[in-house]
Amino acid sequence: MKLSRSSKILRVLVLVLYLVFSLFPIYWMFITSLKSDNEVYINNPTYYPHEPTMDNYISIYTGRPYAAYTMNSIIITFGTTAACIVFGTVAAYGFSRFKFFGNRTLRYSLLVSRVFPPISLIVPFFMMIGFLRIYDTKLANIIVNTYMWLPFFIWITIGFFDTVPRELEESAQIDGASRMQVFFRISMPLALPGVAAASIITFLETWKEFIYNLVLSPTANAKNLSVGASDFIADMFISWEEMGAGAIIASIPAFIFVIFFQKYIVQGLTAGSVKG
Amino acid sequence: MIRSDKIVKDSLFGFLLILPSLLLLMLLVVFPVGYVLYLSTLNFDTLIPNFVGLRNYTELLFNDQFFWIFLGHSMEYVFFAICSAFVVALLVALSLNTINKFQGTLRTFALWCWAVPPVIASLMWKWILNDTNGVLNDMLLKAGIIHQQVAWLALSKGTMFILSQVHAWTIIPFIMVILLAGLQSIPLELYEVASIDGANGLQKFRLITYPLLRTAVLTSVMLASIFAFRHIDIVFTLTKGGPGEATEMLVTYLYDNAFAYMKIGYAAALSVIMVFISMLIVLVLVKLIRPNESQ
Repeated sequence: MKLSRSSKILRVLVLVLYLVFSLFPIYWMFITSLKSDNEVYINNPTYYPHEPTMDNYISIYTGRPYAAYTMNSIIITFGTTAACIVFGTVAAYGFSRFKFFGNRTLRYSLLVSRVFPPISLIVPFFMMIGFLRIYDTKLANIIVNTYMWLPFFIWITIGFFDTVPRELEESAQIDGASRMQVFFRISMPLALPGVAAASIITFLETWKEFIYNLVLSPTANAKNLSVGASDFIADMFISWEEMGAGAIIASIPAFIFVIFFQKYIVQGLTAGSVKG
Repeated sequence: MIRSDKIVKDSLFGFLLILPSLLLLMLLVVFPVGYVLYLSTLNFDTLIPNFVGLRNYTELLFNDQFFWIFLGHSMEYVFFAICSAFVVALLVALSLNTINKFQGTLRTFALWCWAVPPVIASLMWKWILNDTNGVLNDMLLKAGIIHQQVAWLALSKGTMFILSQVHAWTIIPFIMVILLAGLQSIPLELYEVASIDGANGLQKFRLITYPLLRTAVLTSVMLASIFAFRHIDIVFTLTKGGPGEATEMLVTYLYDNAFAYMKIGYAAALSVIMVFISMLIVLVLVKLIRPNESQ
């Protein structure tokens, strides 16, 4: 499509303005994390760090249990993603391939659970986890995050298994492949982009999780980086430069993921919403 | 005969495959939902919780003026966040759609806002909006737009709007990505035909882009609205409902009832009401922007 010159300029202008608006807060947090406290508390903010320093990063890792928070975030996110992959792909394959009583109803009940506000289940989860004596553990966090993202995971991957041609599986079975072989050698590799998209979104959403972690994990045993960074504002005196360092640490994995897996994220977000 | 035998066997196998997930979700959905319904009929003011039937619900709906005020705040939050996010996302998606160079790079940068944990995003904005050392005040003072520092997060009116705009910042990429996918599914030939017929840009948008984009608009707005309605991270880190009760919403009210006032039955009843409100939001939006089947 040919664009007129003026409309092209307008488009570029919109994009530049949006990029400035969206990236400025990230830039601002980043340079704040590199400033010394003297530079942060002067009356005229400096727009780039005059004497960049890594002190804030060092001090949050030595002065606060940031190493534990980082490990917790990593373990909780990987645990949740792994659980979703194991339970989710098998269930999605079952939904997509086999007709059984209640298939459609169960499929749509997956969507209902997405309309349910997670916060409305915070009280029963809180009590359940107390009852199971796993309060303040990473396991408790993995369980609630799996609850939140497994329905989404199954929903997305069903769509991708649906695109694998049945004839392909049947001819493999005629050639003597067992059901397991058909699943692992044929269906799974072909649906892999979908599994990847769903896994990456599950990973990022678990990484971003805040309120369940806040309620279920008061100590460094299972506290994640989001809640860890928000601790700075609970203090009487907010150390903005340290908070900046904490914020950047909590965001870096997300940034890297977006750079490498942008295509899958877009696929997952659109598949999940266009069909959902 | 053999054929039908195979079908029965297959369906059994299929059911076995989804069984583990089904059991897990039953445990994680049916049990908590049942439990929250049960809790909502109890009163926790006494030492031993006692059964009060539907009194928590009637109390909330007919006697608690805060419920209605905070519901209003929640609606304000959802409305302003979605409106601005949608307008910006639509403009960005339309601009990005026909630019082939750098599309991937631009999308990556746009998606960064979505990837930042919402708590971290609100911490970033809390620092930008800070009254004494914040950069927003500094910029506005230098530009001569304001003449003294403004405490953006302590305004009795207006802080609610600011919270909703921080929320908008985090969800623009989500809406934009869905709209972009919708735009890219529109055949370019339609525009070419329209150009030959002498349609201008605005007419093309009204007659081609908007009708064909309706499904994407509906899904993105619907999902973003229910996500915004349930969202607590931003208000929790930016104002905790303050100043006074100016930014208190249903989510924070639920949290306070459950964990500060220990009125667990009351909080449970509020949860159930919030589920119904979410469903109502979905129904209203579907009615408002449902794509016309007949066209």
